[in-house]
Parts: sequence; C-alpha cells; structure tokens
Amino acid sequence: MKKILVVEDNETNLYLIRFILEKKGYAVVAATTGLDAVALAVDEKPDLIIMDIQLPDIDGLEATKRIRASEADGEIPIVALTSYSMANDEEKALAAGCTGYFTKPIDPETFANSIAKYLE
Amino acid sequence: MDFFVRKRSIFSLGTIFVVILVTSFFAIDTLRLQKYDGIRINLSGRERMLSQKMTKEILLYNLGVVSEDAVLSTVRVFDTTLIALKDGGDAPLDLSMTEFEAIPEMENKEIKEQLEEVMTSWSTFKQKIESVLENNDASSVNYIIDNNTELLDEMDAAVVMMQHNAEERIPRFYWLIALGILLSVLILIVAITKAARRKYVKQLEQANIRLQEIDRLKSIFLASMSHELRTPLNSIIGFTGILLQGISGALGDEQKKQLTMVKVSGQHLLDLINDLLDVSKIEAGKAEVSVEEFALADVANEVTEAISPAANKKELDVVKEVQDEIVLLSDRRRVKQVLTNLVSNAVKFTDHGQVTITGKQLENKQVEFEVSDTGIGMKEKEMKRLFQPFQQIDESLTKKQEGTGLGLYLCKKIVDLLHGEIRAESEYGTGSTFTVTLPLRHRSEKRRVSEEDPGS
Repeated sequence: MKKILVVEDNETNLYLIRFILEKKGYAVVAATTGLDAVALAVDEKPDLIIMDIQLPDIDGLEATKRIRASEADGEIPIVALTSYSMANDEEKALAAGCTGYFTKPIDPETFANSIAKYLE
Repeated sequence: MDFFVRKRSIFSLGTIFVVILVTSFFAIDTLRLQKYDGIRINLSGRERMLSQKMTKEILLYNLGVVSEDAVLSTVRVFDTTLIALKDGGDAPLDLSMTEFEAIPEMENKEIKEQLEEVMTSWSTFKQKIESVLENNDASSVNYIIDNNTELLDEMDAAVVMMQHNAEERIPRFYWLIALGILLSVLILIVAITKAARRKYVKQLEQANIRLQEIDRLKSIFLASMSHELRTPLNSIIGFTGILLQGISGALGDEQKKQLTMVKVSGQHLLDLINDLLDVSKIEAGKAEVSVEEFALADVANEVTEAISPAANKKELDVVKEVQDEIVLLSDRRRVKQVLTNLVSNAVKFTDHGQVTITGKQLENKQVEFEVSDTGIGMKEKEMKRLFQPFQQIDESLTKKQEGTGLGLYLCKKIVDLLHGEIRAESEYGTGSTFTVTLPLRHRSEKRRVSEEDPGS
C-alpha cells in the first residue's frame, strides 16, 4: 500500500485530502508544519508528498529544498499546492524541486486520479 | 525665504560680499587715478609752454634783456616737473616753486617711455642752455633754436597720451561697476537655484521611497488575498464534490439537488475570485506575460470542447473556422482565457442558432480571431459600456444572466496586456461579433524591478 505524506496546516483541508486519499486506498501521514514535514519525510519515507506552500514556520518551498538536500538516493515525488497569486508561483515550485503542482481549490473528482499518475 | 538661513547660503552671500568689496576697491582706485590725471595733464601742458619760454629766454639773455637767474629758474621748474611726472615725487604747482603736490610715478608704461624720450631730449637741451649761459657759444644757441620744436612735440605727444588714458578710464570704470553688479546677481541666482533644486530632489527621493513601499504592500496584499480566499473554497468545493460522488454515503435525491446548488455557488464564487484577482493583478501592474509558441487552432479546440456541454444543452451549433497553420508567440493561457470568455458569453446570450469561431492571419504580422453568435445582440447604448467593469446587459429582469460582470473588462485588460485590440459589433435581435486582434509575435517590454514575491 502506497504511503502519502500530506503537509497542510488547515485542518479542514487536511481532513478533505486525507478522506479522498484514504478512500482511494492510500495510507496517509500528515504534517502541519514545514519542519515536521522535513522530519517525517526522512522518518516515514513516503511514496509521495503533497506539500502546501503556505505553512506556519518554513514555507513549503523551503521544506521541499531541504527534503531534496537530504535525499540520498532516488527522489520522492513532491506535488505542491499553490494559491496562484503570481504567475511565477508554479515556476518557483518547480525550481525548488517540486515534481508538479496543483492550484487550490482542488477538483475533488479528478484529484485522486491525478495523484495516481505521480505514483506510477 | 528660508534660503538665508541655511549654512550653504552663507557661503554664497560671503562670496557676493567679497565681489562687492573687490569691485569697490577697484572703483575707488580708479577715482584716485582720475584725480592725478587732471594734475598731470595740467603740468604736462605747462611743460610744453615752458619749453617755448626757455627758448625765448635764452634768446633774450643773448640780447641782455633777461638775467641768467631767470633762465635757470625756468630750467629748474621744467626739470623738477619732468622728473616728478616720470618717476613720481613733489611737483611744483607754481613757477616760483613755493607750492608742491606729490604725484605718483607714471604707471602707464607707454607714457613713461614717452617721458623718457622727453628726458633724453631735455638732457641735451639743458646742456646746451648751460653751455650758452657759461660760454655764450653760438652753436648751442642754434641747437636750441633748431630743436626746441622737437621738445615741444614730444611733450605734446605725452599730453595726448595722458588725455587718452584719462578718457579710457571712465568707460572702464562703468564696466567695472556693471561687472561687479552682474557677478553678484549671478552668484545669487545660482545659489538660490541650487538650493531649490536640492529641495526638489529630496522631495522626489522621498516620494520614490513611498511609492516603492506602496508597491511592496500591493504585492503582499494580492498574495495573501489569493491564499485566504482559496483556502475555505477548497473545502466547500472539495467536500460537496465528495458528497455528490457518494463516497461519504448514499444521498437522497433532494440532498443531491441541494448539494449541487451549493457546489454551483462555490464554483461561481471561485470564478469571481479568479476574475477579481486577475483584474487586481493587471491593474497593479503585477501581471506577467509568459510567452510560448502555440497553434491557435489547438486553443480553439480546447475551448469548444469545454463549452460543448452547455452548448448541447441549448442545442446550439459551435462552428470552428480556424486555420491550422496559425502559430502565435504569446501567452497561451491568457489567449485561451479571452477566447473562453467570449465563447461562453456567446453561448449564454444565444438561445438558438450557432456560435462561430474564426481565426485568420492578417498581412501586417497580426492575428485576428472572431466569435460571432446569433443571439439577442446589443443596443447601441449598451455597446458603449461594454468593456467597463460590473456592467451587464440586463434590461429585462427576466433575462438576468449569471456572471461576474468582470468578464469583458478583464478581456480588454488582457488584450491590452498582449498589445492587441478588442472590439464588438452587434445588431439587436440578430447577434453579435467580438473581434480580437493580436500581434503574431509578442514583444515584451522591460520587466518591472519589483519582482519580489512575498506571498509564497
């Protein structure tokens, strides 16, 4: 069973994403801060990380950079959740090391399928 | 005027004071020299006369009419006066040498040289006179007779020179005063101008700092607005989506119906937020254009696919006539945004018939695409407000359409951003046509300096 690390500080949205993913059959581990995310990425070794950008301590991009720096072999796919405030939000995410991105609000019907693609 | 208070202006005022001081000094000196000019010309004129008097006296001495003392007295006056004129000293004012006036050395080189020449001639002349008084030799007398005119002429030349000198000094005097005044005024003007300029520059710098701060705050505002608004929307759209899929449990028909309304409202809210943020970004000058090559036909296909459910529902035909070869170098997402808006408007305001999308390349390196419909059309006065924000063509309340009211305004802003033009033609009751012209290859302007994105 694939394990997904979800990094999201908003409780409601975290519940939403966890619900969708668990119904799809994935195991979900959650982090609510960037620093926790970096720690859990190392400890839990998830198959995919879903990273919200706005986080209370270090932001999602910084967390991504640190995770990438700590990876010894192989890259865990990291998908960013962006708010699309500026045109280059997406470019910044990719530059920080993200594999892809979603723009909030996510589409509940297609989200699970899109996630599956990253896990192939 | 706070000009007089600043430290720097004291320097300028000091300089002006010095200029006035120097000018006054030269002016007073000029006046002093004027005074001596008069005396010298007077004395020089007398020397001319004395040269003739001496000649006459020598001849009269020969005839025994005039005494030796008389001649010597005249000689002494001439001699003393000449020396005083040339080298400076006490000059006798009267022929009996009782009153004297101290005059300075002749400062004009030319005149002094001329007086030297006079002195040379005079030395010889004096010798001859002394010779006559001693020996009464005829050759000396003849010399005096022959050369006294020369002495006279040389002295005359000196007088003329002195007169010219005096005359010249007067205009020089006036010029000096004028220069002094001009210089003072100039320094004053320059100093005042510099002070004003410094103040202006400082104001500009402060204004610039304020503007940069405002700009920075705008960026922060847009970034946080986007984030704050999307977060709750995520859960609204997300959870209604899940519920409607039945994943959280089976739903009754009425529950499905109501949840659908919530979902549609959420979607509408999202459209509003997206449009508002887009407009805000463009108006704040923070919108960026990401340029790529793409085929217009591909975009048209995507748009028609997306609109087909709505079009099918109303049994409208959507016809595409876009040449495949048209390749644009521009912002694909925004072009698609404009086309989507125009096509969905067309579908919205048409009840039967068709919506046509055409695209063609113009000769002047431009692309033109049109969206026309057989809908209700617009009246002339509605056309006037067409591209303004928050306008909707809803004359009759029954036909009130949903929408953000920002659609066409945003389209115009985007088309402007891409250096293009948008216009509309319509006939009430028949239909409308919206035409967009864009350059084939987008040329971007200089990017803004403030690219900092504090939001992410």
